[in-house]
Amino acid sequence: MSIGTPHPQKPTPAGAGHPVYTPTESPPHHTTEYTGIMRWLTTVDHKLIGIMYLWLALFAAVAGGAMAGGIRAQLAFPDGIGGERLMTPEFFNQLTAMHASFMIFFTIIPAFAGFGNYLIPILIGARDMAFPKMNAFAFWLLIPGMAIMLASFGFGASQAGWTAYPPLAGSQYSPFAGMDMWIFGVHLAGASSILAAINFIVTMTTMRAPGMKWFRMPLFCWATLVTSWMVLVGTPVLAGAVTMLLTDRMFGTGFFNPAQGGDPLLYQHLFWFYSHPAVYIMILPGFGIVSHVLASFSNKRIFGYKGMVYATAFIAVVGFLVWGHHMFSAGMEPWLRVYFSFMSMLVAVPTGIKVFSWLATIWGGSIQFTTSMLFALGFLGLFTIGGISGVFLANVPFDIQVHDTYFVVAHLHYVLFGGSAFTLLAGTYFWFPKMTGKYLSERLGKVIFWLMFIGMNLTFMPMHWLGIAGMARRIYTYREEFTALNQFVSMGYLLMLVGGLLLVGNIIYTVAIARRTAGNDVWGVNQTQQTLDWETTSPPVPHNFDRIPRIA
Amino acid sequence: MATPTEHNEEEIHLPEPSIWPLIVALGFGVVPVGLLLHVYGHGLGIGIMGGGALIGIIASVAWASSVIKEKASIDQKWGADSLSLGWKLFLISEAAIFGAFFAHYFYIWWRDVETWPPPGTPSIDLMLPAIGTLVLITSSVTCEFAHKALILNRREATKNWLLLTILLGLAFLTIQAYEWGYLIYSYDFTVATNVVGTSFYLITGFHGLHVVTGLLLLILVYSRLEMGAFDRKRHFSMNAASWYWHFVDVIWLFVFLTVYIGIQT
Ligand code: HEM
Ligand SMILES: [Cu+2]
Repeated sequence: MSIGTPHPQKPTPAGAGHPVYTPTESPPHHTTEYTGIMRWLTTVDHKLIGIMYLWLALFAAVAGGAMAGGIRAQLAFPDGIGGERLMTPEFFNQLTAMHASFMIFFTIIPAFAGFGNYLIPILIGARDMAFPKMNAFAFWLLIPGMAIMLASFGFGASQAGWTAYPPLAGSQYSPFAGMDMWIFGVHLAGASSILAAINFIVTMTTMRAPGMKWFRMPLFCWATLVTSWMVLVGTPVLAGAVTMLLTDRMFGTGFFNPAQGGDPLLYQHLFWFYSHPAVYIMILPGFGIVSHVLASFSNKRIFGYKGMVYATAFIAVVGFLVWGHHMFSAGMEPWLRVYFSFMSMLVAVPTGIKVFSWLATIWGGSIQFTTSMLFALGFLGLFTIGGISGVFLANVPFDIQVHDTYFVVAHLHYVLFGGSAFTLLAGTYFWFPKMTGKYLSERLGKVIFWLMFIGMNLTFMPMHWLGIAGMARRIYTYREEFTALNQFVSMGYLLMLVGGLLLVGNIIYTVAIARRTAGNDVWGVNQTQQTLDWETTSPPVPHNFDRIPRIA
Repeated sequence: MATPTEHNEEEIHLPEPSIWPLIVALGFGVVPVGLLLHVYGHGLGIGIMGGGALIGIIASVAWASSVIKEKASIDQKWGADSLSLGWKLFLISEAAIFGAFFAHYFYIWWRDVETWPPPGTPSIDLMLPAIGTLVLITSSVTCEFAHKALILNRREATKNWLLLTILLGLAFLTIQAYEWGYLIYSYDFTVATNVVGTSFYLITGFHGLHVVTGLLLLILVYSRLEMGAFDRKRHFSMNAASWYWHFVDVIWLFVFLTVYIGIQT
């Protein structure tokens, strides 16, 4: 049911591998034109909105990264330096809660929304998203959301982790306004995600270019489509859960209060019913990105396209059925433990299919080691490690041992930093020239990659050891014998910090000063890839394509 | 340089830039800040909350009317497809929020089934809610009549049926308000009484909020009819409002069957 513009011109096969037309610079048919800052504040162009999402994500990453620095500083010197404590235990707790909240709700999720916004209409050959104004609205909701969450530092920020379990997050143990502000921040971010998800689904359903059948959509589109469905069904449940938490705090309701017959465990169920799928919400679009990158720089088509699509969908469905693996030690019927354990391991199957398809894609290809490719390859290795530690954790006896220790922290950073963040970096290096017409420095990029890759392993690999030895997460101090390893880990952080600062500096420098040199087919890959992003100018004109392409 | 006329494709229409999405987001974004100030005892709280909501609402109206104007100037034959799909997806996400509340309720019920309902729960007389249910079901039917009448291009009939729907909706809300008041004052049954009180008021309250929203949509449709909008083919707002109204109705049936009848058993 693809709906596009009928046009009698000669067909524009997406796979022609060369620009078939040169889009015009002049945006058609606008009665109102704004310039300067007003252009951004009033824009409904999916490309500008996508770029704003990406800037927001970068800002949140810097803020969240700084908080991580605070955490690592404290853990390097738990007793302070020269008898002087670096921070109060309360502030340390705030840092762990807000670091995760910023990285999850305001970095990774918005960053993927940014890539989706920018790329989906172009990849399916459309002029914009289905609801351009709602698109802008979804983005703007993040601004008050992030502002409220950031401001909560002034009002006793949440100390309850990003999971905000009651009773810790209830009014008795978190009597400060900062906790409520955290909830509102999550509400606004959630509303934003839901609106964006609706927009993505509708856009891909009704606006594909003529001839762009479902199974001709590039994998990044598929990944975003599946993710959007997960957001649509999952995020409202999170909104419901934190709303209950809020009314418990503010109006004395008893959802999670045992004294009134409520049940705190129920919060965990509702929370993880969303938040396990959320971890896939944070990785599936990244899978999409690396599918493009790996295939492009191996100069091959992606291996097993349909299998990739089905595996993605399967992950999404099973992803909704495994949330209990976060609650093995919280008390649960034995048969339920067996069920959740089994289902969790089942997720490894489609994930494995994807990993082997990527390996088959690069197998025998003529590989070009661009920065983007390095990040994609890095992802492949690091994510696999994280997936394996995930299967460990899905074992009930093992999990009971290491639950709430640094082993879990190691697992989640291998999948979220080595996984999601690396795919974002791969995508950034890959599409930056498309978005701006300018290349990020490849030489510096490789330095940044190695700093990140080595730093990340130095930081998170020892955490497996620490966790198995029993170091608890989210605690400002630890047993004496963990000191050396913790200081080592904090050094690893410094490497990543340098890499991150270089990256931010390079992005700002390139946007502000570098000259536009990129052609349409930025990396010279479209002969094999045949995707529409390389068929329009860099950056694309406001209407993306002078003629809606027809896919042969 | 190619211009849109050089290729005889239909013209390229990009949507106009608009400041309203930003203003609406900021306006509603201020509401929680006001709520917090109020709850933590700051005098300005209510004012800020109201101010934010007012800005949000005014900007939403401005946004909607700019869209209507813009749409009127172009052929929107594909717009309708997208809109109705988008609206259905929105309803799915709404259903998921209700799902969270119901999941909570069912879990507690299942856990405490031996001692159900928990102490402190009054036995609610089903007469009034049953009447409310009938009123709401009837209003769904009249809403459907309004829709059919519009398809047959009988505008006066459409308006009358709509008006009836709106009145029935108001009647439902009145019954609901009376019932709440009765439970609160006669039985001292509140959100804090026990977890059933919590679920009862939050679910019916959240549903009531949806009835209010549905009424606002119906009123919007009514006033656009008054202004001569819509024809028998193009009346997305009417479709949207009536789906929403049916959705609210179905949720209510669920509430009635599980919460009202459930608490008794
Ligand atoms: C093979 C697939 C995976 C399995 C079997 C798995 C299993 C688990 C288990 C059992 C836990 C709970 C550990 C505990 O708290 O005791 C966990 C935690 C976690 N996993 Fe995974 N995982 C997998 C993949 C992923 C992926 C792909 C992501 C994200 C992209 C992810 C993100 C997380 C996060 C963030 C946590 C920690 C949540 C918290 O803060 O408590 N996992 N995983
Ligand atoms: Cu999980």
